[in-house]
Amino acid sequence: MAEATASSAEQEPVALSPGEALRLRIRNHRGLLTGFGIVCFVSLLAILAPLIAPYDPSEQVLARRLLPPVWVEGGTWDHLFGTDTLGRDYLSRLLYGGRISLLIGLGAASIGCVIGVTLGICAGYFGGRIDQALMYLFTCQLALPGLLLILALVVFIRPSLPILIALIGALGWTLYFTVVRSATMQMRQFDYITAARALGSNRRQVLFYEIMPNLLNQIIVVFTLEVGFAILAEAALSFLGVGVQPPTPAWGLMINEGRSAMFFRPWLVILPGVALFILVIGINLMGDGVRDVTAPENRN
Amino acid sequence: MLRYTAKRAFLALMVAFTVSFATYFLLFLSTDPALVIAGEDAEPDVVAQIREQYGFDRPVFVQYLDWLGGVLQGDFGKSIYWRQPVEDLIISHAPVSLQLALMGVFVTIIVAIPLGVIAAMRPNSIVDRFALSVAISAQAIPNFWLGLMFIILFAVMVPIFPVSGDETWQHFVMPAIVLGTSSVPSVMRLTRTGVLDVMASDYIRTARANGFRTYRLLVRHALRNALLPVVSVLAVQLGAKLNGSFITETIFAINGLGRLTLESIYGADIPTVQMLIFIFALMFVVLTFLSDVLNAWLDPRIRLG
Amino acid sequence: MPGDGKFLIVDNLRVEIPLAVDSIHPVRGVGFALEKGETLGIVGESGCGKSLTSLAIMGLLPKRAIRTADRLELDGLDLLSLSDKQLASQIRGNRISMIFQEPMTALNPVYTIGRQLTQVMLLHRDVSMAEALDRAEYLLERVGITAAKSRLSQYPHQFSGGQRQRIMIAMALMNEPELIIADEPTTALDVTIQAQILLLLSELQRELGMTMILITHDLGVVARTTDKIAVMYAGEVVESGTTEQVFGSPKHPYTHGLLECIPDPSRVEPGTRLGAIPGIVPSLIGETQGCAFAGRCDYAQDRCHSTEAPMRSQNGRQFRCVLEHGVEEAPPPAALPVKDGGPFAANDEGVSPATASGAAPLLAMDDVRCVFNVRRGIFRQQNKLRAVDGVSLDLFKGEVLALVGESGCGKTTLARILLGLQPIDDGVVRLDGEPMADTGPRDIARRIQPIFQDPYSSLNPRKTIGQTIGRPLEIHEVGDPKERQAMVEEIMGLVGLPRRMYHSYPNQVSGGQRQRVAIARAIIMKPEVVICDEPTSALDVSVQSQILNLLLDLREELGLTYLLITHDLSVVQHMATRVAVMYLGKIVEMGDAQTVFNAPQHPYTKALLKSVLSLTPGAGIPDTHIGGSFPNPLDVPPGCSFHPRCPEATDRCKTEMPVGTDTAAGFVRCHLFDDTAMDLPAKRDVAAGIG
Repeated sequence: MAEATASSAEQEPVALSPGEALRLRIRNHRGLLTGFGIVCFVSLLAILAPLIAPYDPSEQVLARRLLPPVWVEGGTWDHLFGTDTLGRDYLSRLLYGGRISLLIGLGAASIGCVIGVTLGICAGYFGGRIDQALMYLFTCQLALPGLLLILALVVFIRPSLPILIALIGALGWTLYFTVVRSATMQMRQFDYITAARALGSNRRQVLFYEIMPNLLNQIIVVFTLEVGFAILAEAALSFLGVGVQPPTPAWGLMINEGRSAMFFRPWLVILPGVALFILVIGINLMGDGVRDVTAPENRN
Repeated sequence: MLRYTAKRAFLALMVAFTVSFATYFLLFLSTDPALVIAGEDAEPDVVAQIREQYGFDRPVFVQYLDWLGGVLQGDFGKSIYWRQPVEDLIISHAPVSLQLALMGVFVTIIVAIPLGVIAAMRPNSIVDRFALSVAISAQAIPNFWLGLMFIILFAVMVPIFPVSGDETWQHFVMPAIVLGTSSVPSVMRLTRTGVLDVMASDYIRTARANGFRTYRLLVRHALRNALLPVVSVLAVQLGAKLNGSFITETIFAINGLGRLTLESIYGADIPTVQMLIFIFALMFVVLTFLSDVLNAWLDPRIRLG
Repeated sequence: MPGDGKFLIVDNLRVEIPLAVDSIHPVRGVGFALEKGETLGIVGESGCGKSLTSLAIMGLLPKRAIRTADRLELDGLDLLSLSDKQLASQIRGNRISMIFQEPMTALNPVYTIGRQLTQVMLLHRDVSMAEALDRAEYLLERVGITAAKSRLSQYPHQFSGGQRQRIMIAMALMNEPELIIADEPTTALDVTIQAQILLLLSELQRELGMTMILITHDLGVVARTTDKIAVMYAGEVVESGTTEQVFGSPKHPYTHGLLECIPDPSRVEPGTRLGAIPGIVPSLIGETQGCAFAGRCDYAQDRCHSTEAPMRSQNGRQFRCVLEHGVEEAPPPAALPVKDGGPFAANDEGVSPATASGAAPLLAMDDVRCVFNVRRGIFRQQNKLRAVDGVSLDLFKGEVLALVGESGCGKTTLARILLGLQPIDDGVVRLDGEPMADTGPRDIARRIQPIFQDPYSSLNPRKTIGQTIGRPLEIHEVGDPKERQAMVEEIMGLVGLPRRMYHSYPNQVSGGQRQRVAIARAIIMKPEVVICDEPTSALDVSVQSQILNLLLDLREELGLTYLLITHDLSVVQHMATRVAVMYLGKIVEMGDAQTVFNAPQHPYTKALLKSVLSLTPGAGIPDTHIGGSFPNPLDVPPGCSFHPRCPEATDRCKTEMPVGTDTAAGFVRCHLFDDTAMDLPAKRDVAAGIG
């Protein structure tokens, strides 16, 4: 049992500052490092896509349709991952698709973050009726079948990419809300908040000087989780043909396009799925890792 | 207890109606049902006539109350796209979805709870690490893609179960596994945390000091306490599965509520979509309510508090 | 060395918990032996290995811990040779029972107490459910739970903390164990309940002829209830012997220092500096070199740091020290000079007990009320919690006014009111004659500052100590960053914090040092009043004495006025010039400290004073004669709110709240004194300024 050691160790004044202890734990956390490595690698590929992609992702060469990847019989080194039904280079499309996934993931998670953190702090810090009202809003949001509603709205209004990101983001605030709310509530009872008020700090000073720095770690953890959720949500929408619109390369859309040929050309479906899986698992490993190293006592 | 139940029930109803109004309002803003009925190429005066005929020109709140009045009297409206009463549509599609959702939750329970308990019994062991990797992987797999992989694998290579349609219970096995997988991570983690917390609690130490050993402890003391929060999450997951299965239903060609919603959306069938989203919200609310009540009943601190 | 024929023999018991690189050695060769029916007290500060010693005897250590011992025998049975399964089925809960510290969480919340009690018996004995239930009912009655039969079907949350600890005792007795290990059994309870529980435990132990190990940090408890004592420090027993020997003439410098730290009025003049053990308990990671106490010892010699001290035996007692005869009666060579005077003479202007002299109070509360609406759910009626219910209280410059009461009596709300953080519903608070409501929060902050109980929650974990102490200067825009740093460093010196800690974070310093940081933050703006809310109750005795000394010094140097809020009467007795006793939102007695302590008037004050356990070996636990437990503040009894627990209550007390009487020394709110006041109009006039 790790608890006993932890508590005995706590009685010792630890020689490390929080920053040093954090660095040490990060260095010893394999999951976090792996996740971080994956995310960096995929981001780098996506950012550098215009430089490293061998072809234009929307260039159609009908003569070279449905070429298999190089490791399947009939594949050529010209098209490492083969080509799709319209003869576009699959590797180039995958690289460009990563850009869309990351853009949507980061954008939607940021929007959700702003909404959720603001509401969560309000509910946790002010409590009372404000908290009750926000909790009611929260319950309503949970009861709303979010993805279906987005789907309906997307079909009806045919939005641009920024609106799509905003929609996914606007429905992804609940996790931030619960986490920030309960953390703030718990913190409000700590004496250092009372002490800050007794020292004459005003509300703004209490929020930004005392409370915010203590929420940061938890917000980062939720943020990574939400990036993963948003990427998968976008992929699902694109798979149904209502997310990112062709010819933009997006992984969900590629799975959709490859579906008709999936029994005979399974790589068309497998490759973008694997790309999604790797990116999201990297993000999740990172999130889990951040939680472990920032709150070792809450490790579960 | 009665008071608690009444309060929860009231809150649940409030939430369901708030959600239905929000949906109504959003759908009202995002599309013009008159145009849908008339068709894209209709003359403006025809559209205007339809708008007046159906009452679409009234304020949104009046229309909502009108709709709500109908719902309360059992009139769920008429589908524009399917051209039949919405209640008939729901009644014919619901059983399939319910079966799928229940089987999905069943899969979640038999995988996630034992895994969580075993992982918690041996924290940081190989079993624990394995359970955590299962959770992390299941969380990262795009669910629809997992479905497609299953189809490729089982339809082409190892044809054990049928992968398309909803005629027999065997048709539900693959989709239920896919659907169940999606909630394995959260339920597994919660079970694990719950058991870990309980095993580290003071009353377990008391029981150990009185001569109970680990296995008996787990059964007698820990499991009930640890699974209290899991009950709530399972209810939420069941609710999510009832509507969240639209992709799975589409992939496996199961003619349930999810697929019905999807096709109604594609058909711009506002009355059906509105009613279905209301039904989903209501089911979610009812399930959460039931789990709250069950939780309260299982926990004497709430039951008698 | 532990001899044969003893009932319990523990010899060279060691516990090791391996870490990634090194390992922790929380128990390092503990040994003792007990006759049947004896009580052993194990004392020591937190982190010295007391609890792990008891868990090691039970075989209940964490999985990774490694236990070794030369001998571990219970009545001739070798416990070391038993497997975990055998220990569970034969020993735990059967021949040895344990009682833990936290009664609120030690019972399973989802099962009835009847079920939890009977389970223990059914596990070990071949009895029927009915027999087990009978036994449970009998024991519940015996530990003082009335209507036991009906209460068997109730759940833990339906009992108060004191009752739950009684249930824990009943559970421990289900199988008539031969040995009971009680690990801080009363630490989490209120003072008046503590005495009741201890009384019950020692009665039962005598009645049933059980052997008992009592683990506690409270030396008063140990002195009064045990036959033998083992003093632990850093995982070792540094001194052991009979209670009279150890407390009468401590031999080990640690024991000696520990006893000097206690603010016991029979040993230390109130208001004077207490003895102190400098420094903190050393790390238990890895093997230590030499004597573990050497770094904090006034008697330490060079060899203490390099060679282990020998265990010496004299007249049946043992101590581990290089000094052949231990600490002699003479005071330690480096003992701190005792300052004369104390709070009663500490202030040059002689304002101390200024209460009757007619001086204007610095801070005055006049009939202040603060009511919370506690709503339970939407449909339920609002309950009113009268946290502060008509309190009139004056605080004069230079005094130390102690506000005494049990948890839930409203003293913390009162502190928040005085800090300007809690709006009041009625009455008025005046600061220097001006209504506080008209004073801006920043002005109040400059003049009144708090110190809190928990040094772990009073500092922001993300700010360095320098940032925390300098924060008030930032808020009030005093000086530039350089000047601020200089001021912070100056104040750090004043409160005894080394300058190198400027850039440390709270998790890097000890609890006592954190409390010094909190004090530094409170006084850096040179306030007039410091409100100390249980400033030492989360600290060990040796650290408590350091902090109390610091507070006394600061008062003298800076001319501070203290409102000391606490439940610990020994601290009050040591620090206060005036005392106010609070019960359920009302002041029930007030007066200057000497009078209240020498001649308490209110039955509640009397009971509180009885529950203070001075270090009197063998004195036993006094009966406070007050019944029941602290009532739910939401459900205040009618009439005098103390009447259900009062040994002197009359019918009148059940219906009529006494308005209170001014007495010679102050104020008392009790019907017993209604008439006295009439007889003493003159005295009433004298005390008129007290309110």
